[in-house]
Amino acid sequence: MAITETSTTTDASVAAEPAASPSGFVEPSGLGAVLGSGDHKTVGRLYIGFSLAFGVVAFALAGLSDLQGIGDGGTILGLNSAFPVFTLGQLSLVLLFAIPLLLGLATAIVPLQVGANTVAFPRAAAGAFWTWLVSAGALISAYAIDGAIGSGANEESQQLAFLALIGLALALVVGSVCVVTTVVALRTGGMALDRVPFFSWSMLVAGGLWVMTLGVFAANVLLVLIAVKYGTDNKYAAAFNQWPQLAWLVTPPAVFTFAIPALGIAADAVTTFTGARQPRRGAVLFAIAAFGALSFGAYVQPFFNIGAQHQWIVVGQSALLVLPLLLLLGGLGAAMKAGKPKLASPPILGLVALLLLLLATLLAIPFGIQSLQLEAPADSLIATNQALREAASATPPYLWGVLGLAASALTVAGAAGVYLWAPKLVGRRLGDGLGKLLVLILGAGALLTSVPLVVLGFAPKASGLADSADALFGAAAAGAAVMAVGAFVIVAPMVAGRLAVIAGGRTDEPDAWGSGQTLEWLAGSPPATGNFGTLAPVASPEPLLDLADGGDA
Amino acid sequence: MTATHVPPTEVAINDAPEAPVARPRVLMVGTAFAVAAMLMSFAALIGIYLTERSAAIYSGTAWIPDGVVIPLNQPNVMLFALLSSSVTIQWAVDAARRDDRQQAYLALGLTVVFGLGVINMGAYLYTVMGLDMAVASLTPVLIYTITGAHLFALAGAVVFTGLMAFRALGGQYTSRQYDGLSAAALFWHAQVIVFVTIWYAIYITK
Repeated sequence: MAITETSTTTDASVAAEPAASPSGFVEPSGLGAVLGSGDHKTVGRLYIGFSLAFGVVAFALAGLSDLQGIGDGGTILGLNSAFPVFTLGQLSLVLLFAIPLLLGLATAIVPLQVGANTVAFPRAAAGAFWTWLVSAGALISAYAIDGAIGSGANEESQQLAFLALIGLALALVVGSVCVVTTVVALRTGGMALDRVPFFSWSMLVAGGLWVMTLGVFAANVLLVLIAVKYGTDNKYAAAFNQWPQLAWLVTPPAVFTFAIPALGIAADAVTTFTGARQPRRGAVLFAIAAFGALSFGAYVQPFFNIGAQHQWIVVGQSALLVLPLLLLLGGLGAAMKAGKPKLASPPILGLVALLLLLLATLLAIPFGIQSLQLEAPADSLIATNQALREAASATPPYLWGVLGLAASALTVAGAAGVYLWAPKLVGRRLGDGLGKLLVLILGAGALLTSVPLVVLGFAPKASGLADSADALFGAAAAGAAVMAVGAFVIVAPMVAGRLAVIAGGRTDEPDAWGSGQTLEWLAGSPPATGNFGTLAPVASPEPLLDLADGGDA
Repeated sequence: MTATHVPPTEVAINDAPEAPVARPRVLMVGTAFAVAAMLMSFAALIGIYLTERSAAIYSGTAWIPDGVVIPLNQPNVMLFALLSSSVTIQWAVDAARRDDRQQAYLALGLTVVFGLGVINMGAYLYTVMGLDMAVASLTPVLIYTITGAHLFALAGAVVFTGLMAFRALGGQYTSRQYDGLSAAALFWHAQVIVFVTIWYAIYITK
């Protein structure tokens, strides 16, 4: 029995001729079809495109922040701009880039992986995207009109910035709810939870934790907003306290919550290219779930609980976080041993993402050890540098390095996802040579943007390091610039490929790589509206391998 | 070879398509995750409130500013109204499950009235307790943020329940499908749980 019992058409054929419904309503085409679409692939593409564009900006801002460390801090940006650039850069990396990039991939791919015809609550998913985009614009606008968090002189602009942050958090919560509900409630017949593809599983774990983490973040922002707008002379509203109340979102362990889907992307990318079933499937699923459980960090808020990051439970949590990653790498190694791995760009990018994430989790462990004094920069560094002093008051340079590395790992994972699922997102594969070049660009950029800052974190213990501060900050800035270029190199071919497909260019076969195992490789490239016909129940986690083996899927 | 007799009804049963897979209901699952986000938001705010209050008391500072009296009458009435509304919304779900539409309408109407009453009482409480935001203290900021956010969420629950009530009036919910009412009830119960916590943490312990 074939796994699909009705045929599907491609997006291109749908786009070529506007379809009329039985009621006579003509489906919009062109820009109207994009702006008004509730189709999960369209919404996912929009998330990915805009988040990567914001990623270019976020890494550029991070690079400019690193330049503050040079000299007296005011040479490049001027002292008034230094702190706003720092906070906007940190917030952008997480809220405008990393989470929406992964959420976009999930919105587009998860329904295909679980055999659903749509994402759950498609209009809510589209509404969440537009709310996110408008809120992102509002945040950037607020910063542009002197409303920076912690340093803005214009109170109304600053309130706009807080409202924008609440809008971003709520939009990402709603988007996450749509994805996790799809995994829980819209799986096709026969797909028990332990048969869900790895990326969908990782999104189930991540989405559940994101809604809780971002809910807490929204509450924090609301408190500051009320204090600023209505309060009088209280510590929540004080300019120098605003950023410290919110900074926990971009520091360990919370920042690793946003990395959970990277595990799923890497697992799917590697397994797909081995051609064999994952022999340690249970271990891989457990590793992803364990990483999620150990990364929850919304309770570690040093502003309200001084020294929270040094408590034994937090240090232990950081240390244990390494183990699921090692378990996952072991599982992927077993898959490679069982099959014949191909050296294509998606699995290489996936593995590099995991290794970078492993390094980030390892580097997060020493931060909790108080005697290492990593939570404050060396006195000699901040004595004459006001910009660095302000920026480091809540987020020390050591943590800039850890965040930079985690964000870089997510960029690499995002690139792996985009290259792996390009046939579903774009309609055809992207150049594998460019993908392999991305490994070099992103790998080098990730290390360059993070390692110098991590090294600088040890300056209080090794006085000689402070003498090299200018060079180390300069190297980190160069690394951030390389990452910005890398983000552009991910999005540019994707947009170009999509435009070519819309213009009638070639499209790939459903199983574009010829080694697909999961249901997304059964849908067209790109998938038609509605994704599949009626699916027969699946009988294993790898229904396409079942079909190839001649059995019922 | 002998032919076996198969009754026509059995043939029909054997040829019938497979029953659809029993999955959790979409709206219930989505609402459950949204409720998780909301509960975490209030857990964060109330956690901060208790931390600050504890620190103030430990340092010998008065937590409630001088001259401010937070009465118990209104919070108690709000509590009992919300507890009652939990009963009425569950009554609505049960009535829909029994296809008793009249009772479902009555129960949903009562729930919305209880909700609006609590919002009204909350607004009135603000006017009588005299807690001024212009005081240089964390107390008013925290109390107004927490209770205000709860009233806002409760207003959302009233709208959600009202929407489901209109759908019920349109005949969408029957004993075979009452997902929307169950989801609205879940969201409503979460509001009640949050208020019970606020009632104890803020109004009782002060």
